[in-house]
Amino acid sequence: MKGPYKLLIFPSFIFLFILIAYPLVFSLYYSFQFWNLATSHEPQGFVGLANYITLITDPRVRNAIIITIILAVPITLIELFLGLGIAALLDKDFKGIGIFRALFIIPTAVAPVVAGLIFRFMFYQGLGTGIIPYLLHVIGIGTPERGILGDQQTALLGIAVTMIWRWTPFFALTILAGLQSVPKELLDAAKVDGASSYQIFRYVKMPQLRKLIAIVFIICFMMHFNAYDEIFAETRGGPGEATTTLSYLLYWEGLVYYNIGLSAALTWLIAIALLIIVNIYFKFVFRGERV
Amino acid sequence: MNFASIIILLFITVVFIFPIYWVFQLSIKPPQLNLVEPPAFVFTPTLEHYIYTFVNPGKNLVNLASSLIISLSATIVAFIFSFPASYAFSRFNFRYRNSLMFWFLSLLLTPPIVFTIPYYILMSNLGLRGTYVGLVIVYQTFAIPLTIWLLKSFIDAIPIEVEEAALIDGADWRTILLRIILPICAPGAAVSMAFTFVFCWNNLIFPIILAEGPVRTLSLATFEYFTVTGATWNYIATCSFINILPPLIIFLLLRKYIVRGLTFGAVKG
Repeated sequence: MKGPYKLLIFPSFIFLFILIAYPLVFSLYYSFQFWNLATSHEPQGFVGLANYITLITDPRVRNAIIITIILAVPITLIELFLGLGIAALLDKDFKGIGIFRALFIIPTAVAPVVAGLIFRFMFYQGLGTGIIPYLLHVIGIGTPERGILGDQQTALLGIAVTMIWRWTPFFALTILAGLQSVPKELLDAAKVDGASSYQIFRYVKMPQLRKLIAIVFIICFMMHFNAYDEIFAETRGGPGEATTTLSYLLYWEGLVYYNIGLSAALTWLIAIALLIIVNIYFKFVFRGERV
Repeated sequence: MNFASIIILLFITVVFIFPIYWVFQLSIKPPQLNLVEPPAFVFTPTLEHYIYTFVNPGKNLVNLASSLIISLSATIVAFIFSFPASYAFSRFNFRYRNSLMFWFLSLLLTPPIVFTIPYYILMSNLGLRGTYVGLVIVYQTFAIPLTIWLLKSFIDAIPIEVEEAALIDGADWRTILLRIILPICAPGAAVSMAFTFVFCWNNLIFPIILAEGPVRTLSLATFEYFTVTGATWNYIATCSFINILPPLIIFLLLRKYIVRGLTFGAVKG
């Protein structure tokens, strides 16, 4: 159809363009300036690429990249496989299955920050409240003296458990929807050919799900890459820098230390990295189809 | 379905529901039982924490209200901007259509933290820090893209013949949009807005930098129960549980659309 598409898109586009342009231009400009808001209300001088060079050589940035990747790749993959398993279990037909399917919606409704709060007191190393250390002690597993979230070795694991709880149902529900939309004729044909239920799952249903999984994976990957709320609620990036993701480092530099120049440069590094990752991924998945 | 897989499913479900049960039981637990080991599973429930936080003195009632005001206003503003755009994306083919769609999507996926420092300074300069208006504006960063994507998936399902007939009858685009499309996609619009509301409700990062005083959202105010002398877990649990309820009710009522909502309309479900 032909129509006034420009006029229809213009208001939302221009609103967001202006809203986004400010941060982008702002960050680009100040990424070449030295500016600590705590010591001065004005930028304190042009420093060229110094902010970028500081970041690239900063061990804290390297540490944050590693922690961000740990949360974004292996943890998302674990959730994908757990979700796949749960979806396969939920894809059965028996009385009461609807209740199970509804129950798995619950974690996806919980705000990430609230998920963080809930797990913070489930991990809490104190009498009564900290159910997880208690249960671990009952089955004979010791927990660190300073608590799971208070120990360098286990804090990231605590964050990962929180995210796995929050996001596995997301995979389970979306994959379940995909499984249930596989055309019945395909399943009947496979049954006539004598395929076992595992074979049907692996060779008939799974290939149909490829694109759906590609979409939900990238959404989840991004949400893990951006992880901030759970960390704010549970560990504040600590102990030390054991749970400082890129997002949290940026928050720390900009809004705690007020290093505006440095955080502006970090903003650009993160934005460019993501732009490359997401573009390659979408090119690969959609191959120029109409979305 | 064999017996073993039902047992496995039951076990996994209990594991995933347990944290919700645990926060709820803490919110109705008499405080003297907090420090009992092994944890008290059976006790006489009390409403005192709910009364303290939301009734008398009820200092979190104002935070609940501001969460509601901010999320509702942001959702409505987003809808007004998004409805024409999602119609255009659904119906028309034009140059850069896909690129524009992905541009909107990329705003939804960008780490919101990258916007926070500039927004903080922008809103301070405009005098909008600590106001509802300031928060509603910055929420549009994700609310408009989300609404556009969701709403488009619903408009896609409306047969195009309806508008073609109206065009032949000489209707202009305003009439088509407001008199024909809007009533037909009203249920879809309601679902889209409900999901946008949940995303606004669950946002933490923008209130962290911009909300002050009575504009503080419930999530943000919950952190005030962590003090130097310790955390008042019962109140934290109470606020957390109340915080979960609106999204939870919306998701359970709209469970038919849950997959579409969670994937921004990319998967129809």
